[in-house]
Amino acid sequence: MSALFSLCKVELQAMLNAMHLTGSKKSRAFAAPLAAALGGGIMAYVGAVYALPMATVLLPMGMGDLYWGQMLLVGFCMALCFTMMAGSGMLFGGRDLDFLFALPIPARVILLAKMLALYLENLLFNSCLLIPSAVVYALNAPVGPAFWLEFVVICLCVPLLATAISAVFGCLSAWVAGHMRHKSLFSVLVSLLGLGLLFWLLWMLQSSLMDEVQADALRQSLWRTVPPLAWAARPLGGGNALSVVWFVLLSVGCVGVLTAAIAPVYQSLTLRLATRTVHRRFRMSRQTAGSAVSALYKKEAARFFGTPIYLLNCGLGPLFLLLGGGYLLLFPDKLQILLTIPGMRQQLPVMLAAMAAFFLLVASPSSVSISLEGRAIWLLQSAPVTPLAICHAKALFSLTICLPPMAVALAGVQRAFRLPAGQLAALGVCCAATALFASLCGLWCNLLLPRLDAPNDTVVVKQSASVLANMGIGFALLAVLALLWWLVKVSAALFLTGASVFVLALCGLMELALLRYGQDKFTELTTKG
Amino acid sequence: MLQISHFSKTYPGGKTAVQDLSLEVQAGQIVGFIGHNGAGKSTTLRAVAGILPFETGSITVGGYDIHTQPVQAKRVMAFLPDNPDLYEFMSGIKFLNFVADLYGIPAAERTSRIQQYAGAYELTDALGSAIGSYSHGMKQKLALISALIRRPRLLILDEPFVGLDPKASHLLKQQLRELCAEGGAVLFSTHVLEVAEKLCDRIAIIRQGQLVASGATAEIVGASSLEDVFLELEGGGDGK
Repeated sequence: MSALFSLCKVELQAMLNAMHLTGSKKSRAFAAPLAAALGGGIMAYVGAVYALPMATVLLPMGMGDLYWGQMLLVGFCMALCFTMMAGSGMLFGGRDLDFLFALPIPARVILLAKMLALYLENLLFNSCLLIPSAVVYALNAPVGPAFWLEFVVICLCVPLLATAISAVFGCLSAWVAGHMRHKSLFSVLVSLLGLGLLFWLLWMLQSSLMDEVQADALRQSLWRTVPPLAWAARPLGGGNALSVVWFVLLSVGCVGVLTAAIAPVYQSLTLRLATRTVHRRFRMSRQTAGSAVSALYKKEAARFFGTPIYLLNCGLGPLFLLLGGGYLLLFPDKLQILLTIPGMRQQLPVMLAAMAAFFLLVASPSSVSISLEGRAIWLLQSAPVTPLAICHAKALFSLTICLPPMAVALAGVQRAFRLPAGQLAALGVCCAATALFASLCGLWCNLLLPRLDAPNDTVVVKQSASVLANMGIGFALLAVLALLWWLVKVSAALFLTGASVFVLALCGLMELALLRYGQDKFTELTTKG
Repeated sequence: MLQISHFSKTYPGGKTAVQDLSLEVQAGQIVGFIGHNGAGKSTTLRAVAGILPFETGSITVGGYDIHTQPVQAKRVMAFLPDNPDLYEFMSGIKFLNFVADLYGIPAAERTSRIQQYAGAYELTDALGSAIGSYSHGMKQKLALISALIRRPRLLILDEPFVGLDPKASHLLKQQLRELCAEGGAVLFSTHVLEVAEKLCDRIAIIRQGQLVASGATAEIVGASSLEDVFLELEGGGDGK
């Protein structure tokens, strides 16, 4: 038990470390308020934009359980989206596993401690959705101490289910990749398959819900599809509290059963995943030379495409743009119904820009590019290239990875909606400006909040403060622009042009700061945190 | 070739790692840098390599100041840290080409140099595999090859013999001598005093951030062994 406790402490420390919530006073002073602001901002957004409208519709109809069913399901799926791909890396990919397996600690204890890290991440995502949901519910329905007790218990248990599924998926991904030569490629394929499955299930569920018109039919559809959801949603919605017990037993039981199932093969799976065979087949041939700039850029690309967790997280935004654009190109008539909504034609370009901006800002590769250098940062620091060239290569890669998907998305938008040339041009420029902003902002976040000593790439990509900071700043920018759009009554093309100018001005400031301070910041980077 | 003048480094938090260190490495010399764990060897070497910022003192490499002309200084030297981390997602050959691109080595020259050094270290047939699949010794060899293909005028090595098999160690010693014979210079740190005694022209001993002995190997060692000298210097300073 003490070994489990010690390992859990280490995992928690690593997570807080990645978010810069430990360490020097200076970094804590910066990171703690930032984390609080970001968490608070997300909760406020969820509460205002999602929970409140749903509560306003469902609660007066006495459908509190359906309200909770939806919120719990969305929270669960949102967490799973983010952690499903991390399962393999967090459970099987730590650099400390060799050391841990050499200790007199059972494999199941090590596995449980690693699953705690996954659980904490799921808890974080779930809380950001469930806490504002509870606040909104309490403001619109009579609640007592029993409700809050049930809520806390369910809030702690929902992430357990997501953890269990992430662990299963991680195990599957590790098993497949471990048996293949090209581990990274198969890891990416399995992850994409899982993500696709999750979205397909969500789509099916939403479609079936949208088809039901009666409250009872809605309920039955949801409880039929995800039975444990009823055990959690009904007590929160004022129903029988006893089913919370079943929910707790199910959640804890899932994790327990999984741990027991994975533990016997944990060490062998980890070893298989970590083992890479040296193939002694290379024959020297004439090499080609390139420039230092192209070498830096190609290195960024090689890391991005060769690191599954990096690709899947920071490439999701461009991927969604690509898929969305492809969908519109193939099925241009599917969303025509939107144009029949009064005022939509005028709003559409701005809405599309906001959607594209969300995908571009949610996880920029440059926000983790420096941290992923890790202990190999000495290679760049000792090379005869300026820090500015290194930073520009990182920002440039982050920018260019977005451009082709953006072009496809714009082509799809034009095919589907036939925007006037001015609007299309303004939309394109705005998206490009946002992509540039995301690249430079991500770079600066990583320069100011580096994490070069993370135990593995998954921690860097999923938990580091620079990712959260970049996301927070990006969303704050979106919020400011959304407010301006609401206040300023101008045409979409004019607004998008103005927004582009504003965003490009911000990019200009960041570039100036890079020219002035970037060299020193880069030189100061050290693996000592 | 290398001039370190009154170099001091204090880390945030107040820990003084190196204090007022002055050291010179002439062309054609192999200088061994020895000291106990935490003495300040790696700090000094990293400062010379231009990857550790410092405020006090000056370091010039091949006539270039590491502060004001960092790119020019780095171009003439090659640095390897202890237990060097490389890009595990790259293959060996891609890594070597990456380094060669950064240093502007033309195609024909890099091909022949890679062939030469990879062949010498018996790593050629593994160059197509990912660095992540290499053993520690193979990574060390690859890192050494990446340094040698640049034909540096100054080679800075932090514990270069760790992880190398005896054949590779012997080869490295040979190559260091050849580099110096061609006008280059080497500054390396090691805990293997026998190697330092046999290989180095000069020895510098650092203790608790300060240079306590520096000179020709024969002068430092005298009639005893480098180990005896080192232990005496270590033991003589414990608060006495």
